[in-house]
Amino acid sequence: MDYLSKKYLRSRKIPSTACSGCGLGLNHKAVVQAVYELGLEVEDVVWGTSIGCAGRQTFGTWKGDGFAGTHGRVYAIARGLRLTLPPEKKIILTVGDGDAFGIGLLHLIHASRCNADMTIIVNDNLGYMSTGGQYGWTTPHGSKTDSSPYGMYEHNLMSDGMDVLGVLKHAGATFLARHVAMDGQRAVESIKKGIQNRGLSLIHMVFPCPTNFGSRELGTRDTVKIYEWIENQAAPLGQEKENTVWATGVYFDASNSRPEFSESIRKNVETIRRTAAL
Amino acid sequence: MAKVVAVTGNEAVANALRQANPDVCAAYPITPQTDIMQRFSGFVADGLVNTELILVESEHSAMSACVGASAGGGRVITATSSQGLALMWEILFIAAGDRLPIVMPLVNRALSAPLNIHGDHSDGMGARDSGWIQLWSENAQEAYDNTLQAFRIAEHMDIRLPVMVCLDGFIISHSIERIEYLEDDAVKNFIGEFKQLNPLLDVEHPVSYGPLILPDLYMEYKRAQHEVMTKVSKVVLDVAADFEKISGRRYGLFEPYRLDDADIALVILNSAAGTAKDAVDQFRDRGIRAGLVKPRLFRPFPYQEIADALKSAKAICVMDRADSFGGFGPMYMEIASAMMMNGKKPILINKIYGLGGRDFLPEHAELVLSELADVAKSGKARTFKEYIGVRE
Repeated sequence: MDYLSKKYLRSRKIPSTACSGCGLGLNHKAVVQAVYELGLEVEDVVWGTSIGCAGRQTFGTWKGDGFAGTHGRVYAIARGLRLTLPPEKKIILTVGDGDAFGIGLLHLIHASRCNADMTIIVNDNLGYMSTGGQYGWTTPHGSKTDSSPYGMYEHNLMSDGMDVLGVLKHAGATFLARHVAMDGQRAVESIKKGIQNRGLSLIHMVFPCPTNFGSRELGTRDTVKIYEWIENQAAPLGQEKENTVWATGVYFDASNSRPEFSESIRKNVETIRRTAAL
Repeated sequence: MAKVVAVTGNEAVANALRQANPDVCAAYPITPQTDIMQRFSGFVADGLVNTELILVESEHSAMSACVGASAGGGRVITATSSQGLALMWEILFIAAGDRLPIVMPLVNRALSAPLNIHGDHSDGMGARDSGWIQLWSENAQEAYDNTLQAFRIAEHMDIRLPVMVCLDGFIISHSIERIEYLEDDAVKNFIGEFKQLNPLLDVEHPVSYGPLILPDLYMEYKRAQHEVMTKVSKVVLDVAADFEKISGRRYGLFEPYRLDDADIALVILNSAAGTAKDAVDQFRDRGIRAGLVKPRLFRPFPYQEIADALKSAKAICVMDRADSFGGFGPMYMEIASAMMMNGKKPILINKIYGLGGRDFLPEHAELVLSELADVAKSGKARTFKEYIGVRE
């Protein structure tokens, strides 16, 4: 177990319950590395999780305070939490693609609208993998999944020029980035920027699922094959190739550009208290 | 001719849905139900059904889509579990209040928090008052048979209500059992063509679903909803009689097991009833007159019929795989109400078991029956509500 795991994570939760070859650990490593490089301690962060692969592997793993929300509700829970926590405490949420971009999208849009200070890592394994591998809202077009045996043909939030980060940008999120699990330090830098933004930050991080995605789409659970498949279709922003699905890097950075939700509420309530004839 | 297969509970239910050939299915994955909808989506992809499949972004949307499609005039299905049912809760009442004959298998799973994916009945019991008809199933065969019968009950012109078919998560949904499938043609003849009633798409006869009704009429509307529920038992029995003709399997409102002269009796739902029946047999072998009631139709609840069936019992234990914290288990409250019907007062105790998928073993049933034998003899209950198989 490395130093970071000992410092920040509960040793009885390591190794995680992830399948062999799962890329989720790479994403989590990047998050913990970012927390470390920012000099944050266990008590500086409240960690929230949701359901599915992204939730299951992180339940009760963070050494400090944490909560497990129901599917899609973590953003609403975190908004409430934001109002009661001291402003310097960080809220980090590690969720899945189904949670953020499906069942919880409305809550996410409203958390973005009011720019509530939280950093959301969307661990995207390209569909509903913990329930067996059904396609979701970021599954690449044409992918074979359990629920699309002849190729996924529906419009979703990552097809036909649509990009879920565009939705969130226009909803008011102030820091948005996209990475794949193999991005290493580049992802760590984005997560650090996200945590430092006093507002809503979201880092969309695609990771390989050999068990349910790879086995259907590539016909093999060979870990290397799904890693290659993702890596080949990812490229840094500005260096996209014809087959690039995931352009990686900082998508939108308006960090600290507009008032944060809890700060704004506190300030306005204070003004009303001072000026209203009570 | 029936076909004998070895399949899981989920597979059996999915096959029943295929045979019913619905017009619309709205699906969202949730463990342990996912398997049903995933298999059904395979039937759609392979052209084995004439179904429009909508993959939605949440269970709230799934049930909403079902309401729309059903009001539009189609045969409509979905399936869910646990948190999925909890998220549908708002729309469950709309489906029932609008009298929409939606059929939904519910693979019973515990509710959060804390999160748990295994089988208990807290999800279905939470939907008790939603106005849905509920059929409960001991094993995969019953889940298959109940699903087929659910379409006939829901779509009956005297009823037109949504039906939930409950089966235990993992214990039944993921275990392989011997099942008898009916032939597709036999099912087709049994269920029949879907008949529309007040469809939204009939533009010559415009109708409204679910608008505002204030205190001047709301109560009459709800009274009418209760009235239709009083007709359900007869339809359930009629449908069961027709089903017996094609399957040879007999269903009632509940299953009485060795009950005729029973001094002590268990009331227990679903898969655990199968385990408890073995314990009842053992007690009978030892000369103790034990029996069992396994409810099938939970809403509407057959109070009088169950009271009559339990008339000889001096001591009864109602076993609940769900709890009402600060109260008795939900099934206990029904049986206590039923016992008032005939003015007889056996001693009625409540055991909470198997929450979150905790195993229910034959020893548990034996312990409860032993306690019941003592209660019957002494005429006194040691305690009225107790958890069993739990670390205290």
